[in-house]
Amino acid sequence: MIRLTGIARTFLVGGEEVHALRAVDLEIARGEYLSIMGPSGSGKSTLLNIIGLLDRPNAGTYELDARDVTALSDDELARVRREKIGFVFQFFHLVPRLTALQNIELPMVLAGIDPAERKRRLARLLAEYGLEGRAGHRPDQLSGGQCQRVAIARAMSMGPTVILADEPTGNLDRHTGQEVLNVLEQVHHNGGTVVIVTHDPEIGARSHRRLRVLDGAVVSDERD
Amino acid sequence: MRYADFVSFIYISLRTQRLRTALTALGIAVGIAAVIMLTSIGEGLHRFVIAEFTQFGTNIISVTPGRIQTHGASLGAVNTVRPLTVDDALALRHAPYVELSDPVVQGNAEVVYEGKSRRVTLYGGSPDFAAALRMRVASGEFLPRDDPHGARALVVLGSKVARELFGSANPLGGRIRVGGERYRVVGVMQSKGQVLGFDLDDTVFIPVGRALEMFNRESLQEIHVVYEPTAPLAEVEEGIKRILIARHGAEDITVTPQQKMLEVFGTVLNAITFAVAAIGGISLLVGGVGILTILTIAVAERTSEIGLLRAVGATRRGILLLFLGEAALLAALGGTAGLLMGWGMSLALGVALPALPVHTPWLYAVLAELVAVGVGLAAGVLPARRAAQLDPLEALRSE
Repeated sequence: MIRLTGIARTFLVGGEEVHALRAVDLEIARGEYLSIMGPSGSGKSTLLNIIGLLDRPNAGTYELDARDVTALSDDELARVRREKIGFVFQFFHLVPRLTALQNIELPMVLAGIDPAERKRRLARLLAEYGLEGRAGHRPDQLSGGQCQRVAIARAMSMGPTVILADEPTGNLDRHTGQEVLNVLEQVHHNGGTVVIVTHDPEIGARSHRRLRVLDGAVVSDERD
Repeated sequence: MRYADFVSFIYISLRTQRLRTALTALGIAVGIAAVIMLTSIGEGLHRFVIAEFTQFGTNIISVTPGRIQTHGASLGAVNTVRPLTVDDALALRHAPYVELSDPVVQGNAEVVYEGKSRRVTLYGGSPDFAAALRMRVASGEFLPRDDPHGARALVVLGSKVARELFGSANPLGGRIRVGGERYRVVGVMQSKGQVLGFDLDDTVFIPVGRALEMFNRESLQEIHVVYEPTAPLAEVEEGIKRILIARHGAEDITVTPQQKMLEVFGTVLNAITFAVAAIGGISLLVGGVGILTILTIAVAERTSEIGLLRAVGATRRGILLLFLGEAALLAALGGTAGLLMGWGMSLALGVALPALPVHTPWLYAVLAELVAVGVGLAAGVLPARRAAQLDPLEALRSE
C-alpha cells in the first residue's frame, strides 16, 4: 500500500547540506499499526511528512496505493492528501473560529462533498469519537483530549488510506494521552492503517511494528 | 469546495473579527459614500443646468453672424461678413420645418418713469420673441405684429422692472423712457426668474428695428429659429444655411442648434461629475489600502491554519480564492454601507440646502459598488497570493 524506495531528503541549513533521510526503503501494508521512533533530529518527522505528501524527497520513489506519487504536481498532491491521508498533529491544528462539527467537516467541505452525505458521515463520526455533546463547541471550549478526538475524527472523515499521527500525545497529560491512543487503536481495530511518530518508548511498545530511525536511516524494524 | 460552503467559510472569518471587519469596511464605506455624494451633486448640477436651458425648448436654433470655424489661411481673400438683418430673419420663416424665426439684438438701456430710473437689459425682438423662448405675458400683450421696419414705440416690461418702476400701480398704458425715447407699455411678462445667474425679469422688450436704431447697429446679434419638434435637425439646419447663403452670397453665419449646445454642456458636465467622482475615488483607494493591511495581518495570523487547510486538501488556488473572497466580501459590505451613507447624506443635503441640486444616479451607485468589490479584489491579490504561496509544512510549523 505504501512503498518507499531509496527515499532521501536533504536540507540546506546555513549553506550546509543536512541529510535528514538517506536512502530509506519502507513498505507499510494495509491495517498496520506502526510507530516510528527516534531521538529528535533523527529524521522521523521528515519521514512522516514525506509519507503524508507534505514534503517531497530529493531522491527515490514513493508509491501510494500502487500509484507513483513522487512527481505529482502541487494540486494533485493536495488532492491525494485529501483523499488518502489523515493527519493528527501534536498541537491539534483545529481552526479556532469553527465549531468541533465544522472542524471535522472541513476536509469534506474542501472536497466539495454533498451536504446530505456530510451530515450522514458527521453523525457517525461524532458518535464514534464520543463527541455528540460537543459538536457545537469551539476548540477553546474543549479539553485537550476532546480537541485531539476532534482532530482524529477530522482525519477519518474522508475515509483515508492511512492515519499519520505526529506526537499525538505530546501536548496532553498522561491520562488523556492514553485515552487518545485508545482512540487511535480503535481506528486500527476497525481496519485502519495507523502510523505514529513518537519519542515515547511506552507508546512505541503498544504498536505492532516499531521502526527506529537514527541519523536519517531506519536502524531497526521490529514486529510483534 | 461548494459555493455555499465557500461563502459561509469567508463569512465566519469576517464575523469572528467583528470590530476589525467593521473598521475596514468603514474605510471602503467612506470612500463609496464620498463618490456617491459627489457624483450626486455633480449629476444634480448637470440636471439643473440642462433644465435651465431646456425651459426655452430644445427645438430652437440660434443663427449668429460670422463663421466660427475657419480652416487654413485666408491667403489675402477679403473676408466680408454681411450683417444679419431683420429681412434675413423674415426669409428664414420660409425654410423647411421652421415655425418661428425671431431676430434678436440685446443691450443695456436706461428706463425712466416718473423720475425713477433703472438700467436694465434690453431685448429687441419680433412679436415671436416670447413664443420662441416659451415666455408668457402676465398682463396686457406681447409686442404686436407691426411692420418690422416701422414698428411703433411699444415696450413690454419684465416683471421686476414693472414692479420697480410702477410699484403696485398698473403699468399698462404707462409711458416710460427707454434709452431716451418715449415708449408706451403694452404688456408685463410673467416672472421667469434667474437663469444661470442672469435675471430675465430685469429686462424690457422693444421691437427689434427700434433696438437696432437705438444701439446704432446694422446687424442682429442672433436669430432664434424654432422648428417643428419632430423635424430632422440636419435638414432644418441645411434649409437655414441654404437661404442665408443665397442671400449673403457666402456662408458667413453660424448655426447652433440648442441640442448641440446641450450636448456640449452634457460633455462638460459629465467631465465635472467624473472629476468629482475621481476625487471620491481617492478615499476609496485609501479604503483599499485598509483592506490590504488587514488581510496581510490576517494571513500572518492564520499561517498555521493555512498550513492545515493545505494538509487536509486545499489547493493553492483554493487558498487564494478564500482570501480574495474575504477581501471582496469585506469591500462589498463596506460598499453597501457606503451606498446607504452616501445616499442618506445626499438626501440630507437636499433637505438642508434646497438650492443645491442633488440627484443620485443609480448607475453610479451600481458602478460604485462594483468598484468597491474591484478595489477589494485588487487589495486582496497581494495577501491572498502570499497565503497561497506558503509552503504547507512551514505554515503548519509556524505556531
